[in-house]
Amino acid sequence: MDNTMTWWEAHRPSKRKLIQLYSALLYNAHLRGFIDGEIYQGKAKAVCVPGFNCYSCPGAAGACPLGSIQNALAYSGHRAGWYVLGIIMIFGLSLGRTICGWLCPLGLVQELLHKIPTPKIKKSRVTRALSYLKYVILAVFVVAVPMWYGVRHDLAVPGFCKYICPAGTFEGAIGLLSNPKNTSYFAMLKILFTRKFVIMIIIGTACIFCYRSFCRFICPLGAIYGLFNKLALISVKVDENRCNGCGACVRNCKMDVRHVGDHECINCAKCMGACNQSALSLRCGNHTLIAPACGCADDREDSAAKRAKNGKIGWGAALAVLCFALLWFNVLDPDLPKSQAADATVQTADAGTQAGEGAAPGNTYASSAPIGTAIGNQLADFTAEKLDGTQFHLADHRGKVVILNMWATYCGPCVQELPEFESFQKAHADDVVVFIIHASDPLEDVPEFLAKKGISLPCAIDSDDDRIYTLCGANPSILPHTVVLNRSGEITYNQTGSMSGALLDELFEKAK
Amino acid sequence: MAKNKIFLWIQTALCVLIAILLVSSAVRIFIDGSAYQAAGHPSEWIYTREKAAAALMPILPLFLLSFAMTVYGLVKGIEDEEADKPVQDVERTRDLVCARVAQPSEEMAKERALQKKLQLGGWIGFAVCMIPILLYITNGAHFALTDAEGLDHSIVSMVAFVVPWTVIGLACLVVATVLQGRSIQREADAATALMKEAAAAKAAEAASADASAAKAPAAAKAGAPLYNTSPETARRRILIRRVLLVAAVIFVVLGVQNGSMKDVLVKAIRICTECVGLG
Repeated sequence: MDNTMTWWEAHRPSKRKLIQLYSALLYNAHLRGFIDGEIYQGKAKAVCVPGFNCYSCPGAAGACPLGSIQNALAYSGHRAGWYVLGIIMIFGLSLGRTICGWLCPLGLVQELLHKIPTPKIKKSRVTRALSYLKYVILAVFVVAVPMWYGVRHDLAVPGFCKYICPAGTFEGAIGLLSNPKNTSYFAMLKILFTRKFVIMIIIGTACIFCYRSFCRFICPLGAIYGLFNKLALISVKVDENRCNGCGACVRNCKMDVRHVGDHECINCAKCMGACNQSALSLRCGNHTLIAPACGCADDREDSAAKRAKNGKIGWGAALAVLCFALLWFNVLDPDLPKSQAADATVQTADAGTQAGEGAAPGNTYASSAPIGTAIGNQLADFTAEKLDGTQFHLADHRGKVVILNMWATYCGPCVQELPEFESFQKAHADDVVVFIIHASDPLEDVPEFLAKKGISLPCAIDSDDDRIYTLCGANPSILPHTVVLNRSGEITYNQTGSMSGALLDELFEKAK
Repeated sequence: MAKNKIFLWIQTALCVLIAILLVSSAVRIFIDGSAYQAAGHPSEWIYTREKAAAALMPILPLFLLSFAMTVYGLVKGIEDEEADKPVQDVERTRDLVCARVAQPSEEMAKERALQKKLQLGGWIGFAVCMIPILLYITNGAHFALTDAEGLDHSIVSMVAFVVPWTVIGLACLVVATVLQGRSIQREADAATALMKEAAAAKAAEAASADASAAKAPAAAKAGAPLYNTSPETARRRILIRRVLLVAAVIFVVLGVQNGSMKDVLVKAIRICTECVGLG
């Protein structure tokens, strides 16, 4: 019993670990997303969370600050990203890199990986020099790539998310792929996934041997917050009257710090245990959050008791917030999708009324296939208002191969493949109809955008309830999506992911 | 002790092996799948759940073994004993030793000058290597879109340009910082030798040498403060923080009004498949 207690005393999770776990759970409070295999689409996602947490994770209830920065830069030609700038400044000025140490789920994952018992690589002058790599990554992948492609080509290319981010691969890609309902997403996996998977494994392995490798050498978000660290309201403060300059704080720190509180310091407060002068404390302005463990004047019994009481109140409030968040993001939020059963009923009802139209006697291209969204099914008929005000009626195009492409101006790969569709349509003008459907919430003038890109394909904007997307079986939260119908209106291809010229040719051959 | 080390090295081998197997499996699936696609089957999937499961199955026993060893190691408290020990901070040691030396020797002064040169050289080297990168990324022509695959090509070209310069820049910093560390060590050694000589001379001269030695920590503090923030600096920081916080709140309000908040929402609920690494 004694031994168990001793082991527990030695290994019980610290307050910091509990807070890291808490924030990871709070950021990913949409737990039903892991079951449904779909991301959260509520309005709460307009708020950035402070830590690194991919918004394509099925559980994510907020937006990733780094992804938002890149998208804001990509959109800087249209609109200044004041909102993201303000949010990042508020986080930086209030918390600085305390976010990395206490509120970042990726930091928690890195620390857990580092717990795997292996020989460890300690910090040195070499690792300190390597810590500047993250500023290069920040300049190139987070600033230059999104800004240039956004401003010059109207193309959203979040360079870090797309080419490097291990959180996106782990939480977003693998999070979605691991759900059996998303088996069709495997069709999209190509070189991009392979590259990012390899990068994720390399970074993960590095974290086992080298403490917080991603955080220290790669993380651009840490680099941004590091710039605010000296100004941050919450940070480890040094009582300079007590400090004897022994440097134990720096020697015991696993990050590449030169001083407590510099741009590499994540305010984890571990140094407090190493300081035998009790000169260090975690403070929020003039309030002490964690006091040095000593019997000194500042740590009087009454103030310690007051802190303990405040701590209990804080934990109580935090648990209440978590319970509410879990309830809200999984049950109460009106933005949550209706149950699948209800959706299916609506679709079947729609389909039932239209099945007869397609199979009208005398129609050469009539199909007796059941209405649905699977391959071989007949797609339910729909009418949509095109951008020029005329109507697109699906049934009018029986006898031609119909390609329905779901896209959005803010989706880089969607915009990139539009010229492929355009040239394909021109090459097969007599046999093919390509109809592009923009997602329900355009961020800019779609006709103007298409004119600028030289795209003359017929286009519609989906209704607010994503009627056409739902009808086609496309997930409105994941773009692009393409549906190919043969001359009888039967589905021969229905897939999320980017399209290539070669694939279009093959699909056309199959469909005709 | 030896058993623990063996345990740690076995765990290391397992972790590295699992990583290699995961990477090689992904690469193999990709190469095989791409070859099949290129052979006239563009609509065939490169990855499938079955392929992934088949690739993961042989790795699973290794993973479970590694997991069991991790749990065992954590329960038994087996860990790298050096990991939590403080690292040597030659710079701080030098500062503390030098603070006790009244008059630096010529050798110490030389080393100090060399350190400054090395530090400056390292940073200049790094900055010089950053110039081509900066020129590259500020030139929009490098971010051209020639065709549908133009983006990937220009990113690959950019990486091919940026990586060597970054490696050279970081190498400059690493070399300079390592040499600087050695120079600091030499300076500290020289200061220690000087201090010992002085102490010996003093001990021979007077019995009061012990008393002055006892005061050394106070001298160390006075001579080499690690933290020295003037009240003026502290006040300035608070003022800057307040001004920036007000500006940040104004930015958020502006953002809500100009629609950049909606941009965040839409991008967070309508994800593009390439942006998360799917494809």
